[in-house]
Amino acid sequence: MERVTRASPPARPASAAGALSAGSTGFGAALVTIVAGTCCVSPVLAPLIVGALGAGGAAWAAGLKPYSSYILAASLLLLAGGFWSVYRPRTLCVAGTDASRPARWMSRLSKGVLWAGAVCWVAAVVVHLTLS
Amino acid sequence: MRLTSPTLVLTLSFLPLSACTRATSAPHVNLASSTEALQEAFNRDSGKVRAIFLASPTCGECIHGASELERVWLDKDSSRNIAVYVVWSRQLGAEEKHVADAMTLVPDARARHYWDGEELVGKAFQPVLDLPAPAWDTWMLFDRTTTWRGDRAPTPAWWEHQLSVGPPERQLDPERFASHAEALKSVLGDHT
Repeated sequence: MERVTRASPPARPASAAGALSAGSTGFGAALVTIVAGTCCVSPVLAPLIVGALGAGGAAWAAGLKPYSSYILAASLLLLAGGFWSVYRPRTLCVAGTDASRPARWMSRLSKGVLWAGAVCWVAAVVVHLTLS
Repeated sequence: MRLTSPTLVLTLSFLPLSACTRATSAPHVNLASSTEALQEAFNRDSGKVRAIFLASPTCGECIHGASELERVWLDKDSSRNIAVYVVWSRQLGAEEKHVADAMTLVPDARARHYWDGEELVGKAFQPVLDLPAPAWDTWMLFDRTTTWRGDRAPTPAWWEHQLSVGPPERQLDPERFASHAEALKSVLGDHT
């Protein structure tokens, strides 16, 4: 039986996947900024970062420190684009069809990643402003 | 797959950096309670341009600085009249076990690596460089005639650092450091 969805229709698969991509990239970029910022301030975090990334990875992340502002700006744009893709107003669609299931699943995943990325981005800004 | 490629690129970009580190041949020397082993090596290499790198193996900026000096200076200058002593110390929670990984960023055969768990070398250079704390994240060059006798560390011909407390005009610039090394080497008549 078909019924019409009245509120919060899921994003189309393509836009949801695009939002997921933008969100996870923005999340990753914000995370890199945090790693770059905190690599040299804490005797607790520094060994963990080197342990996780290896000396080469930690050196690479530290090398990105001068570009933190640009990385944060780029990740903000990506996250904003992702949020726009997921939350923009859409026309109602028919639910209950095969096509709507992956869209709903993808939409939830995208929202989760985007919000996690947003939290990470705020943390990265705090770290960046505190240490600079 | 296509849609998440930026994420994959970002994630995968870490892998080669941590996995494809270069191997060094010689193990490091533990300075334990004395700088004697370093002093002996330093004096034995008299006649060469010598550099002492003071760094922590868990400090991202330190190991970035070390790898940049390897890339910008040592990789491009194959002269035998160069000797480098990389002294890894305990700042930022570092332990001796972290040295092996950090050593891979300065794989040059002319570099010898030391573990200084007591910051003995940093303390020795603190008064020489007029720093408020034991020297670390500091990069020094010495000319061919300099010797290290007794407790007083030798004065470097040139030095740079990445500390917030050091003189700002001495912030590490690998290109500038390499040019100073080249100038010292030219004094030796070595233009290789």
